[in-house]
Amino acid sequence: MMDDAQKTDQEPLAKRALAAHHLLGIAISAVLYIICFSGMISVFKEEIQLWEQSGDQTVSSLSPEATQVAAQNGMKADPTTAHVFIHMPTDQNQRAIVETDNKETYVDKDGNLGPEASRPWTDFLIDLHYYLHLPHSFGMIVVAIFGVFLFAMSVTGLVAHPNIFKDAFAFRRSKSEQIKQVDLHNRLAVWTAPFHISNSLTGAMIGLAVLSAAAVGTLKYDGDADVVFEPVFGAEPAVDSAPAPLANIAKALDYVNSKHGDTVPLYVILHDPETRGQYLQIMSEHPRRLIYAEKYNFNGNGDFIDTVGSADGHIGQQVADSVYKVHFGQFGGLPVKLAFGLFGIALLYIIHAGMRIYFIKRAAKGYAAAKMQRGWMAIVYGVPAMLLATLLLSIAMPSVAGSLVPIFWGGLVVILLGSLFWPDRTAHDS
Amino acid sequence: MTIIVDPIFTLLGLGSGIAGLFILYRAWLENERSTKLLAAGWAALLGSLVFWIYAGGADRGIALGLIVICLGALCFVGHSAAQQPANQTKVARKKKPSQKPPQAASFAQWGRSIGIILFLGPICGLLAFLIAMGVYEALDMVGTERANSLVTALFLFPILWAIIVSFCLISTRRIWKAAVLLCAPLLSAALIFVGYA
Repeated sequence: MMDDAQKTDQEPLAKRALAAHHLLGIAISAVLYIICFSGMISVFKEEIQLWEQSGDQTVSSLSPEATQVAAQNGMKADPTTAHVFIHMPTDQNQRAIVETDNKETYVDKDGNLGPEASRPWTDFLIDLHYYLHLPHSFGMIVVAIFGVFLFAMSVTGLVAHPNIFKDAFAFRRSKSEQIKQVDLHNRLAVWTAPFHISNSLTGAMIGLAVLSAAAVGTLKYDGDADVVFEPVFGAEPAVDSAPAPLANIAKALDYVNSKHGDTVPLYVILHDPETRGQYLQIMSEHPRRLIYAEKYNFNGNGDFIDTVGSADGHIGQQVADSVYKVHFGQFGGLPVKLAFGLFGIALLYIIHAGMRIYFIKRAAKGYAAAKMQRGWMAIVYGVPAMLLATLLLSIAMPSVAGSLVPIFWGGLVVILLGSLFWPDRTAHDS
Repeated sequence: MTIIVDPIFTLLGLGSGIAGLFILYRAWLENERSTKLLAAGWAALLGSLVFWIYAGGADRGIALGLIVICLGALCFVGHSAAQQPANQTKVARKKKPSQKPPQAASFAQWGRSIGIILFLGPICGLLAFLIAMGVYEALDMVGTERANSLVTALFLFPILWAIIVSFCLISTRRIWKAAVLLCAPLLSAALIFVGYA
């Protein structure tokens, strides 16, 4: 890179930016494609979860009293838990779930426990998109770094394109294959820029926040990384382990329903249940906002204390709480999800077209990279094929649901190796 | 959550967005640059976003408006493509290389590639991280709310990383590279040290 300086010193900025764009693209496209493909499907994770759980009981609403009963039953089933989460049913997800530190169980409309919640393929998919199936703290950072490089691709791509506005609608379909691919790559990239820029940045920010928090915690808070986020997401009160009756969840829910009826309770979270220091939060969605939810805080008696400030606190709190919905397109129901799915497909095609341009240019210069091209096509078709295969396997053979990760990666490696030994017939016009 | 919008402002946002895209489409088709048309197009798009704020909420409305504008623009691109017949010819592969084909990588080339990866990955990341933490300290020192300074730093970290990577790959002036890659982190390290002390 550094040695190229003399050689490229006189080249125009756009050409140097294009060279940088190529270099980054070749380096990251394969893994980026996997992350983006799984992300595109993850937009519909609620719908997939519902489909995976289609045989289980549905609950259209959970009354405050039934929620109280559900929490009591959750505590009976897992008495040592330090948290109780109740997933409230919504119009889109008509399931109620009680989650403790060790169990996740469906509940019926009266708060009685049902079967344990199980959605292996959705969990497998989310784990792929968030962590690439690596150990979580490490995988999250790896995925975030690909978000950084996707953003760098956007930066170099925009710098490399001096006529970005003038050519904003140009698609020379009647020209050569290379020009068609370049136009398609550029037009899709420019007009979906708000999507892929916001997604790369929110994804990178989420993953790298762990690193930043560790550093700030070390510098400022004697190594306590949890304290770092307190100004944004609020602090938990001091622990008081003395026994106490279970918090009055019904009273707290009644408060939210009566005082903030325009919001939709999503989660009830009880910290340190059945202790004197127990602390109740109700996360309630504000339908006309990008924030995930405002957190309404209550004491053990169900008396309102305050809110965290996600809806009306400092701008940093509101921005941080908006990251999730912006990343996954969760702010406008199915129409927005469909648009995000379409933009996701566009991003996949942008990546693929970028690689096609590279292969076409090499072929035109007389040294086609046939094996590399077949390897790329193996990734392009192998990833959806293996995702579909794992989905079908998890349905047809629930006993292999715990082995979806090795099946996916093993299958992908086999497809990739197979492609390298496939006869070279279509390398130049795939 | 269903899509909750005000229908009147939604229609106004849609209309203004489509009009803005159409005007820009026409303006960019012309050989002569028409500043008035371009200004009108951008103004209509901006107006569309304002209508969307009323239609869907302040932050959420803008996001919805951007989605609609992006989808509309892709329709115009599709229309532009449909105006021409598709070229079905396949890429011809040259029989003989016109340039020297790439050789198998030597140890030196592998070493250089690993050096580039280490530089663009961990080293550029570390520099970006230092600068972001420096900004966090600077904002803290001038009394910015902790939530705001933290979230600013959290977003700055990946943005700076990507910009430093792009800058290092694009820039050919070593003096500029050295100035940016040394001065900014040193200044940030000083700020972090002052904040820590």
